[in-house]
Amino acid sequence: MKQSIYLFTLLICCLSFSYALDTTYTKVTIATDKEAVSTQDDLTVLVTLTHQEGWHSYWKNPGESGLATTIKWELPPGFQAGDINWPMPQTIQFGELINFGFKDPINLMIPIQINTSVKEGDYQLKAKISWLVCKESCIPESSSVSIPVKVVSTSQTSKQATKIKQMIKERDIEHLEGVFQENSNQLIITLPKLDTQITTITCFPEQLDLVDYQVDPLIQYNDTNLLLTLKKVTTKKTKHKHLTGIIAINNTDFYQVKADKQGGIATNTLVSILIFAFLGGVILNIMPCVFPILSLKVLSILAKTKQEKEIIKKQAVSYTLGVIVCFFVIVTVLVWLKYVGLQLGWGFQLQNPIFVYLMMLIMLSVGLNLNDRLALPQWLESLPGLMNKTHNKALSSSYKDFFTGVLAVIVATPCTAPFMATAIGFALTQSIGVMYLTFFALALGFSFPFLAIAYIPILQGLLPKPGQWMLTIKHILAIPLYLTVLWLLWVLSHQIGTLAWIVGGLSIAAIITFTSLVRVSHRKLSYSVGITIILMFVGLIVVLSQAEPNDNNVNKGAFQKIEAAINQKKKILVDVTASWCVSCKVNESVVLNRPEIKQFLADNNIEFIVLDWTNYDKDITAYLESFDRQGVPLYVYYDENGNATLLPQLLQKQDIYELREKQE
Amino acid sequence: MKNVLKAILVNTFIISMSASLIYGLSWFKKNSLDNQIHKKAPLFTALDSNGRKHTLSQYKGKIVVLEWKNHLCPFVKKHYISKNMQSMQETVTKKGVIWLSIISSAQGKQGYVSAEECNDIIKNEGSKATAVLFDSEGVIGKKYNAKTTPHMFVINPEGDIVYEGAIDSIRSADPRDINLATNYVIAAVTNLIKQKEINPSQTTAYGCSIKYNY
Repeated sequence: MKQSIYLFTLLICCLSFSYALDTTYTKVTIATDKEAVSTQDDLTVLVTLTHQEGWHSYWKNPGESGLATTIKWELPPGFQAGDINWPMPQTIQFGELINFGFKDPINLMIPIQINTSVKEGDYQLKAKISWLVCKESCIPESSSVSIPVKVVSTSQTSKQATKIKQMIKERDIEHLEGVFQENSNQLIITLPKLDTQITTITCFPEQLDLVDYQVDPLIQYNDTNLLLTLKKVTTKKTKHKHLTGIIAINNTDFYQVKADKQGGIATNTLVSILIFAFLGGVILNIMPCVFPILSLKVLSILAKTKQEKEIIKKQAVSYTLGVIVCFFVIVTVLVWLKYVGLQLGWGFQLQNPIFVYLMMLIMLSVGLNLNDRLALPQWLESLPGLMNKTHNKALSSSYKDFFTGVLAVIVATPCTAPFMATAIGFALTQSIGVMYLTFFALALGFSFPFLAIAYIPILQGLLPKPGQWMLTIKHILAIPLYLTVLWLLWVLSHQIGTLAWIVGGLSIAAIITFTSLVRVSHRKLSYSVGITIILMFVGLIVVLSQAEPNDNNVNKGAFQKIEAAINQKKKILVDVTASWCVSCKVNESVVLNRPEIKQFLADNNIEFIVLDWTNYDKDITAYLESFDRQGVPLYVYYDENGNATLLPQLLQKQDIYELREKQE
Repeated sequence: MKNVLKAILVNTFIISMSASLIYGLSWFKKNSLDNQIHKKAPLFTALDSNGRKHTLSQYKGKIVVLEWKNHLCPFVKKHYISKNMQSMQETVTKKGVIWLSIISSAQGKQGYVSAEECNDIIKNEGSKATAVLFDSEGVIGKKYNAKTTPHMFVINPEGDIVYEGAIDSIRSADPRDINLATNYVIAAVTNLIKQKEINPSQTTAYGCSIKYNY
């Protein structure tokens, strides 16, 4: 019986196997690449759908409407059908909808694997091919086919074999492998840079529910990579671990793309991040916010060096623990905030006026303490004792050092933002594990000088002998703290306007007046400091109630301006900055705001657009993230074609002048 | 001196901790709201097949399901011939939900019907929708960015879109797939009534393109 069907089919379909089954709008032809197949080889089935003029059917991702063509197999045991090998899709626009499909004859190829256990003989491969064929309206069509296969010991090719082989070869396009990241509304795919000059890129993602096809991908470059930014259809995080699809460059060159979710980073990158974090931590010690505190610590060592080396070691360890714990608290808060879905970059703490105000008060208190102007009431002094009911002296000393560590980190936070925002910002884009590791390295680096002095006796020998000069140094060390106070006040004024000067000035005046009173009468000490603290909080509440961000119109319309400039093929230099960002301010005063640079930008028709991140701004955070950054400064140059280049974070005039060469 | 230093440390620690608490709380008050804001459902007014006027605002306080319909589209047919759509309409309208089928086909295009034809179709297929609305200018469709028939929206009593997208999880025109698929609309309405989280709240609709008059 089987034999006769085979013969019959053979009769109507010429000698080599291929036959047609037509539906109303489509001609279906089936062919295989082998007359007879051995179990050693794969068989390739070629299904060709030829629609009537003007009709089309769909790719595996049909786009905004439509339906992918499917093939449902019913195979004898031992046979296995692989995935459809599709032709390169085309964009088919219907009204405002974007669909992916084919208008030309569609050659679908399906590899069939045959298990070695399959015995020689004749088999039928049954399949139901279903597709949606559309012009103005759509009609679902399907065709059930039965493909006879002869299994033999040695394969014999069919007439179609060369054609099929050729097609498979043509479709074996170059693969591009990369990584992708996402933010609330964008996917950023990083791919290796291509040699081709890119004018257009069409993306055909295989994942259905991800990309907004209406928005053209944004093409950007950095040193070695091509960055594609696609708009997402939802703000939800995707569950896809890999993005796959095809991109067509200049409508002619097709590439198969696979991008893995960025999470795992290469070990050597991780090592270098950790080294940088450690070094960053070490450098943090000489920042104006921290240096006085650390110096205090060192001074206390000086007094002891000879007799209590063991105690110093203990102190160093408690201090380090305090630092680590405090940094971990910060990371945990960050992880949590990110989990809740807030878009944060490092430096965000300085975007909040209350935080700035509090830091200002803390800095001032520490400074006054260094000048022996401020001491604290009895009840506060006894607190560590309360926490530690045993009144064990060694333990209470450990508490003190632990809290010094905590304090050091707290006072360091405003300084990390202006100087280390980028490094920490990078860590924030990584997985939770990497974030903790990075902050751990940072904490170790931060406590490293103290640890080193405690554990390396030679270093202790290098320290100068204690004496009266220590007091002088202590007083001098208060100066950077006061400068920090002024700087914070200035930042505050950028956030909430003139109010900052009033609140800040009043608070400072109040604290100083009370400390003077304290010096006159020690008995009133407790009360006065108590009142000072109450006043602080009154000031704080005022700030709280007035914490409406200073609505400076800098950012309004800046994004539209960027977009408009790109559309008009203008050159733009975007400066993402913040008042509290010291390196931004340095770059601005040394490079960007210099008359010769302004002149240069004007001469070369480069529009200069500033995005101010002093206050929290979702859009700017998203913009930073699109460049893999979570901190400022960021300098982006767009050429006439809208291609973005990042400039270094420490700008030199030369970097700006080189833009001229980039234009050619 | 030692004690003073200790006290300063403890004091600053306490102040900063309590302050950061206040800081965090105030921040959240400002920002957490942003994340929960649903898209407001655009308001509309339209006539139904019986010439009655319907506005979205008149259904404030009720759950509203919008269904984009084109009776000739194979994907719409899939759900009507199998009676799946009718049973969905019956299930939810019994719970007090308003179901509005909207026809956005432009005059002369596939799916466009006169009021009379529409009533005949309703009778024949046994639609249990609250009303079938005409939108031949495509005004409502474009406000909602409806792309396909069927394209489904679930609007909560406050007037926010809480689900939008496909009717179910299997993208096909084959009625046999209906029983195998997860019905997103029923799930959304049920969870909305139970005040549970709606997941998924957004999917990609599948079907025929809406025959707007571009």
